[in-house]
Amino acid sequence: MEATLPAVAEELLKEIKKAFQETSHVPDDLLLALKFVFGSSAVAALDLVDQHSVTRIVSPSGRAMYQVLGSSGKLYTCYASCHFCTCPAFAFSVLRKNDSLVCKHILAMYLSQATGACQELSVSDQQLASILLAEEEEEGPGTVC
Amino acid sequence: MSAALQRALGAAGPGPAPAPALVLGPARSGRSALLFRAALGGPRALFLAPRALQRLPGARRGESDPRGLQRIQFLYPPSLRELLRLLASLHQSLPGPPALLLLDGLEQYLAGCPGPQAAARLSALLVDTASYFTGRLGADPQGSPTCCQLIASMQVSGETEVEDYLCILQRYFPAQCWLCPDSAAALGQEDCGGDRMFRARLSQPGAADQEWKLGFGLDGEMRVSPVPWGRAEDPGAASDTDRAAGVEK
Repeated sequence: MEATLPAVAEELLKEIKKAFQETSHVPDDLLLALKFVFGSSAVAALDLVDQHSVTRIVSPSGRAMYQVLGSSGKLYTCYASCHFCTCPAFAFSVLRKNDSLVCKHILAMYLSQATGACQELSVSDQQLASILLAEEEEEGPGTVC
Repeated sequence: MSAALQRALGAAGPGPAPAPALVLGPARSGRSALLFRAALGGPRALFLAPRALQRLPGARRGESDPRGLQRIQFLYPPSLRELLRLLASLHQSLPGPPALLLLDGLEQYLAGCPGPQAAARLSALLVDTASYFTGRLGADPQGSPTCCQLIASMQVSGETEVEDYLCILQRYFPAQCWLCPDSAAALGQEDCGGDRMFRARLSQPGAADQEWKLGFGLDGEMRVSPVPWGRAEDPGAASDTDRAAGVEK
């Protein structure tokens, strides 16, 4: 049960993944398409990917989720299976105003998956439970585990 | 849409891949009964509710199917906080993955949400938990991958604030089953033998809407029958009863 994006967005991410696997970079035409589909989140998300800001967190149970280090130094939690992020932009632009499909952190998560740029972190089942419930975090890396 | 819900309503044959489903309706319209019937019909189920069930919903009083009940685990987190904690730690606490994750009384948990993001978190955590169980379940005897299906029920009456969260819920629950009083029965146009009659309308992406009639006898038993072809109510011509029940289409 994966999160669903509109078909054009799904296709685009698949093409990005394929292009990256073949050439180790994302061609300009796909970057342009990314900006067209996702709007202003696209550039910010690409920056987050370049900075390796996305970490996939997994526990011995096999349950996983993502944390993204935002540009402000705050740590946000994104779920793996559906669209949810603890950042204010998700609450405002996505949920309330319905302006954006996803926030830049969720997009960064997708792009990091497509380009293999996720960091990996193993935590205990107990720690994973805490992170799933975490509100927006003030601290940056080094305080996760 | 939710295969388990369709099975509970008596639909035959495979449908599209199951999506999380929301059962919505006014008070005493059969939401809990439908969830319970879905639980009885499937393999292992986890049934969550804010309070312990006083009796088995939709079953004839005094009757129960022990084998069916053995397949259901009941847990009663009393508050939103407890529910969130439970969902976030199910990967630790449950020995084996259930194939059905059922939540009754979603409106009571939503009443504890301070805002839309909290409602989204609750919905997302439900979906994420079911998705995790899907990953843990193997293939069925026919070799097809098994999903953990998520069904939640929510009381709607057109009045409460929690219903403002409906558009958020619809992001996470693409399939919706609306229950409303059956107008034909209410107007005496059909003989329903004294049962309270309701209509259930299932909407899911990628499939046509389906409709059933639900009857509740004085003995408490829920009886389900498909709506005859051509007799389905036109959602555009909602009756006053439908509007009063808070049905939005």
